Amino acid sequence: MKNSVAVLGIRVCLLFPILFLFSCSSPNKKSAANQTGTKENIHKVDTVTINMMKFNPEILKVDKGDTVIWLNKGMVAHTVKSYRDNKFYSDTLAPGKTWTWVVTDSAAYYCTLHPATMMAKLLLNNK
Amino acid sequence: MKIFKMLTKSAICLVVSTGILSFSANAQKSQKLTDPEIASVAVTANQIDIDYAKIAIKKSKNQQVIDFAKTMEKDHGAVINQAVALVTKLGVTPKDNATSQSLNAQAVKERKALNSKSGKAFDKAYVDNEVAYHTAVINAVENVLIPDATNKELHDLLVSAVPLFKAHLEHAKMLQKSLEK
Ligand SMILES: [Cu+2]
Repeated sequence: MKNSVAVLGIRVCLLFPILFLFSCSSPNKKSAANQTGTKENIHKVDTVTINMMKFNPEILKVDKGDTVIWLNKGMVAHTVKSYRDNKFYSDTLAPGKTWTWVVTDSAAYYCTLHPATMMAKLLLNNK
Repeated sequence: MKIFKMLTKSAICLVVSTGILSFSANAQKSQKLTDPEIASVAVTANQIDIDYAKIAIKKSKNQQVIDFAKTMEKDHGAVINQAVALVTKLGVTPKDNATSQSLNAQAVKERKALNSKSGKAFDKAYVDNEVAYHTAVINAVENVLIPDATNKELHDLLVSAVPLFKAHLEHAKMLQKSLEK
C-alpha cells in the first residue's frame, strides 16, 4: 500500500510539470486525494430545506457525526421532531430560521404542526 | 357544508366567467375579481378560519383538536400578515366585495352553530367544518383567485398558500378519523 502510494507520488511529481502546461486542475486533484485519505475524520454538513410544506430532500443519507441543518424557507412556522425515542425536537422554527442536529442515529421525523403531510427520514449510509 | 356550497357556488360563477369551466350557458356574466378584491377575499377567508380556531381553543377539551386549532390560528395569521405586507408594499387597498361579504355572512351562521355545541359534538362540528371550509377555500384559490390575480407577487403568494391549505385539509381529515374512534 505504502509502496503504491509512493510510486503514485513519484508519478504525480513527474507528471505535474506536464499536466501544469495543460491544466490548472492538477493541484486541486492532489488536495482532493488528500481529503479522501482522511475520510473518517471529515463530517459532512447537509441542509434540509423546508419549502411548500415539504422537507427537501425527504430522504437524506448521512453518517454519524454529520451535521444536518434544517432551513425554513416556507411562509409559516414548522417543527422538526423524531417519531421515536426523543432523538431530537427543534421546537418552533420560524420562517427564515435554521435548526441544527449532529447525527447520532438514523431517524424518521415529522413536523408536529403539520403532522398529516410533513414527514421525512435521515438514513445512515452503509459502511 | 353550507359554507362549502356557498363558496363553491360563488367560485363556480367566477370560474365560469374566467372561462375555465363553460358548462353553464345562461350563467350571468360576472366580472373578474380585481387585485384589491382578491386581497380582501384572501384576508377575509383567512380571518374566518382564525375566528373558528379561537372558538375551538376556548371550547374544546381534546388536545389534538386544540393543537390543530392553534396551528390554524398561527398559519392563517401568517398568511394575512404576508398579504397585508404585500398590498402595503404595492400600495393596494383591499376592496370589500360580494364574495368577501357572502363569506362573512356564512361565517356568522357557522360561528353561531359552533358556539351552540359542546363536548364531542363541538369537536366533530368544528373538525367537519374545517374539512369543508378548507376544501372550499382551496377550490376558490386555485380556480378563481389565482387565475384572476394580475400582480405577479400576489399571484405567487396565493400559489404558495395552496400547499399550506392542503396540508391543513389533510390534518383536519386525520382528526376527523381519530374522532370517529
Ligand atoms: Cu410544518
